[in-house]
Amino acid sequence: MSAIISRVLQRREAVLALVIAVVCVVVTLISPQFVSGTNVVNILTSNVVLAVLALGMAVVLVPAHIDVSVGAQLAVVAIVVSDLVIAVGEASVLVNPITMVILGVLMGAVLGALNGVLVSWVRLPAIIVTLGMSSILRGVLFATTKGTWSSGVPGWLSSLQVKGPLGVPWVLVILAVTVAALWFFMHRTTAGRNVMALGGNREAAARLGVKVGRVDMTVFVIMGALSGLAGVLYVIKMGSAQPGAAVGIEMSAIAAAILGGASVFGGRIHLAGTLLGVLLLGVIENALVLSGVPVYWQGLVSGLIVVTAVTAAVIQDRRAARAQRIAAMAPKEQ
Amino acid sequence: MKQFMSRHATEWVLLGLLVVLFFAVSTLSPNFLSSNNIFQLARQMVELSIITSAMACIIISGGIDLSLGAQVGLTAVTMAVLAVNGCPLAVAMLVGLLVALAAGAINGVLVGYVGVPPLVATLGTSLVFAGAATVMSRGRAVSGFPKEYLVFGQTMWGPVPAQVVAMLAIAALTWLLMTSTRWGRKVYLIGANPIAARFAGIRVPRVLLTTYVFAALLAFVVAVILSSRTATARVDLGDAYVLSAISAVVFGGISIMGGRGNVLGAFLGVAIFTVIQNGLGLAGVSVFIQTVVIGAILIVVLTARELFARARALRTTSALQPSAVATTKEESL
Repeated sequence: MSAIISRVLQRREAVLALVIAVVCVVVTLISPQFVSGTNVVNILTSNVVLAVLALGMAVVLVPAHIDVSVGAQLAVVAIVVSDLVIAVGEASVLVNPITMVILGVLMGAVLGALNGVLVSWVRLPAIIVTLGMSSILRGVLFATTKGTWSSGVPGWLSSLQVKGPLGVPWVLVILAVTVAALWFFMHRTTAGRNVMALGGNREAAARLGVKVGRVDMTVFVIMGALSGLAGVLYVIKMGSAQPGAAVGIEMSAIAAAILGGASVFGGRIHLAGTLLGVLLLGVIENALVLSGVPVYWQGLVSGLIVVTAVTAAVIQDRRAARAQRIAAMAPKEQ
Repeated sequence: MKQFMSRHATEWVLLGLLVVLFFAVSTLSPNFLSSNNIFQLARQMVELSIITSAMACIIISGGIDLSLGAQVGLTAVTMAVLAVNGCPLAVAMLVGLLVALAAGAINGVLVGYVGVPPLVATLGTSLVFAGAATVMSRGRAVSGFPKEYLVFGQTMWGPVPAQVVAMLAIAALTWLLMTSTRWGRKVYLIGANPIAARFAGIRVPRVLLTTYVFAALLAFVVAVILSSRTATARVDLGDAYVLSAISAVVFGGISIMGGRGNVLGAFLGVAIFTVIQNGLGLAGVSVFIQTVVIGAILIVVLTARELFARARALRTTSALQPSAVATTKEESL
């Protein structure tokens, strides 16, 4: 029995789900409206932007890269999309939710490709490339918009946050499709397996004939495309966009991915875990509000959770690695 | 002499670039070379320069510290809240120092002893430090420091702002510590190859702990100078410096992988960034475009450096052994 429990607890998803459940029970005792339908839907829909970014970050972390320009990429796409829909006004054949999502994804993919070229071809460290790119994109945004907000996004776009098929808001449908597509890519395509191979051992993958540069390029394009999608989702959620949109969201995305079982040393991806990581951050934020804790406690609480979770994960990893070493050294039977 | 020149090639190039920029900017605007503007320039770079010294040590050790900005905010807010609520200034500053050292120790323990990757560890602690500072300040800017406190950021010795002297002293001290002490050599070795360092008998966790505590000490100095100069303390006081410091460190020739580079290069990097920013400001270019230019310079310079290095490596190794290129440290990481 205890063996089963410890096996279950070794799954990151199980631990996260357990923590989320505990938090939910505690909050429900303090404030019963936590479990109300509207609040649950609210928690889910308001974290879709972060979820999409965290999923992308989980992919980028597999070959041990990182992307801190996702917030800036999101802002670029958000501004373009919101300016466009505000200028056009009515939905039409050319400007409608579907084309806006496509536009956002394509723009994001191009921005991601810029990072990809510098990382894969010039071989600069990803953290430096995306750091520089982030300040360039933000600077261009502030300079061109002069810091002004674009607000007044028409209802046909912003209503996707609440309306949808069978009462499920469209933004959740978009998230579900994204997760399915990423799962298929990572686990059912050669390109996805190559990403994993690079994360396991870059040198070995290269010698096996994996085109390392192309894989690096792929992950940054995927990340960019998802940032672009997140940009559109941001416009839907906020009904506005500004050059300072989503500053620092890259940190939350990295935190959620790590919480969800990604390793900065690469080689691992857990899409379900990543979603649970986002959910944990979202539930805690919501719980603090409902429990009447002043807003300024939120950063401290979520910070402590991230540090504790990451520390626990590292200790767990090390223990597993040591157990593996000992098992490998033990004399073989027979 | 020749050896000295070649060993510090990056620094000489940076120095040359700085001189060229100086002349370029001074033709652009005659105000630039006035002693007033020079000291203004030096004063502008104080905070970034000190944070960069801290970041340089940590990056040389093979790590990174994203929480330095939050440490500055936390320390400044701690001192401000205590001082405003009637605590004697000396006590408030002592508590601030202890808070900073504790913050550095937390990072050091997580990275050195627990083995959490520095990027993740300091990302997490930056949330914690900023969160703690937000709780203390209730998310507001704290002002109302006693007058005596303002000496740290507003004293002028003749035409020279006092903190410029502090900056130069700290840059020199960090350089000496890193190049001329056993501790510094250990930090370099750990950055170059932590496993070799361990087998060489270096207590890697302890050295890493001291590196992060040293960085926190510098964050404390920045907190004092910055909050004294602006007479307020806010959570996000130091946020803007973190990424700029990483840029300056890398720009200054320190390898982001650790183990290579020189603190002086990073200092020159900060000076170059500041001259560019000041020059663009004098030319009437908006602040936003300035950040674009800094980001673009960083990427262009590194790209050029990388491509040159690769061309040189190709020339020297192709004759011997083609596969040697693929087994360098950068490749395998």
